[in-house]
Amino acid sequence: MTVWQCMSCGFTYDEAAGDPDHGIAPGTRWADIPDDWTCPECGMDKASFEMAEL
Amino acid sequence: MGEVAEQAKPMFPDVDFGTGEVPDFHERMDRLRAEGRRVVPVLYYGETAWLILRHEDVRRAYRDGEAFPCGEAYLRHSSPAMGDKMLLCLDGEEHRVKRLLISREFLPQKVQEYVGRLIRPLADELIDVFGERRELDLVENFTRPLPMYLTTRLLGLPDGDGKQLVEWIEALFTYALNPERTLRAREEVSEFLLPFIHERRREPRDDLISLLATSKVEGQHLSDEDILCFARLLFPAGSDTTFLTMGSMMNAVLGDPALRQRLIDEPDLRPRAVEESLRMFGTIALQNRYTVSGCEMHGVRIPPHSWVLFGNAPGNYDPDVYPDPHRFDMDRNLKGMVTFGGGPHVCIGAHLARVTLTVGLSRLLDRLPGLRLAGPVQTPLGAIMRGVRHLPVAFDAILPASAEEAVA
Repeated sequence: MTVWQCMSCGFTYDEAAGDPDHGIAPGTRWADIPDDWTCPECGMDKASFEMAEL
Repeated sequence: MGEVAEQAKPMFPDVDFGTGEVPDFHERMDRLRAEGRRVVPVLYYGETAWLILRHEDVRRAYRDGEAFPCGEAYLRHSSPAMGDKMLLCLDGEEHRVKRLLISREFLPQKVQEYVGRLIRPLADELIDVFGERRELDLVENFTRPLPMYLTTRLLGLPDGDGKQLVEWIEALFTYALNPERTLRAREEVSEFLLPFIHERRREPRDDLISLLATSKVEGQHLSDEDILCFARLLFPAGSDTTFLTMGSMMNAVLGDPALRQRLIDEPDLRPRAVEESLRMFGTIALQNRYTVSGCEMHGVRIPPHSWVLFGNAPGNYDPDVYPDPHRFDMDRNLKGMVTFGGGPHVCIGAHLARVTLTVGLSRLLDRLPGLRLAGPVQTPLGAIMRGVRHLPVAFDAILPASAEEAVA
């Protein structure tokens, strides 16, 4: 399980927690998130995320 | 047509939300909410603007760049001051690419690095300058210069003349009120910045000007004007927002002796006090946009070519989301707060503002025993940029930074 971070706004997607508020179940791997998913905070696309070293 | 004209009749014709102080801002918003209104016309620099009141509508509107493009608004009111390549004048892919050039420098893990290296030493420098004084204006002497000099140091610029910096910052943000003054400030700021841009291109350092001077977009270095556009935005935006929230926060904390004492006794609560202050006293109370094709919200037709005001402050006081919103409550769930906007243009400096406010609060409470208001509790003023602009305080002593650290 890894954490991905939006390089535009800092929002983090934690695979373990998912993003239930936006229909992504806990445990959903980054690779399994649809390509048209966007950052819930700023709307940037998946390409704007990087694996986070927090 | 009759219905549209009726809908466009401004609420509160006695106040212009662009220029007025509107001390009873929240009371007016509460009244509209109680009447069940969600989108209302108001006066804004003498024109009609459509104010979006409810939290969920504001959140959605920030994400709807088609109905409410950011660039259309900023090209109208800020490009003369800051340049038409300034981030807020851009939308879509050009905005995404240019924002990502610098947004990494403002991520939460990055701004934590600034605390020990820049923010805390600067806060202590400013307190040391208080000298023998035991009464002063906290805004003029601390909350204003802290984010201002932090911004210049992040950019890699010398501190310079404080009064001159304040004048430039105010001028760059007030084109609508005094265009000549703004254009003069733009020229002066450019003249001030250009030598540093050229120097950092030759010899980069660890600062934002160097980062921009060495960045490439599609294989091309940014032009001088590109970099000036970034700097003309970061310069006032970094300075002129945090200081107002910090003034309002200190006004609230010092105006409530029990809260003040709790924050002295329990330093771990300070970040939560900052978050609640951001909800209650966020500087950008109303954020403007400009429609191209118009749209409809909850049965209200917002015409094409209209100003729109996103209600950051009304949204943050929406009782459906934040119960008992006028109460300072450090335990509340602040998820979804719209202080920093949202969508692609969400405030790039949000995390920096948070740590600056936290460090500022901590240094003041820890180094100034007996810190208290030297006048009545104040009402923040302004409807677009809202905050406390003067805050007379008194204190009993100044603890040296190092001695206080030893005590801590």
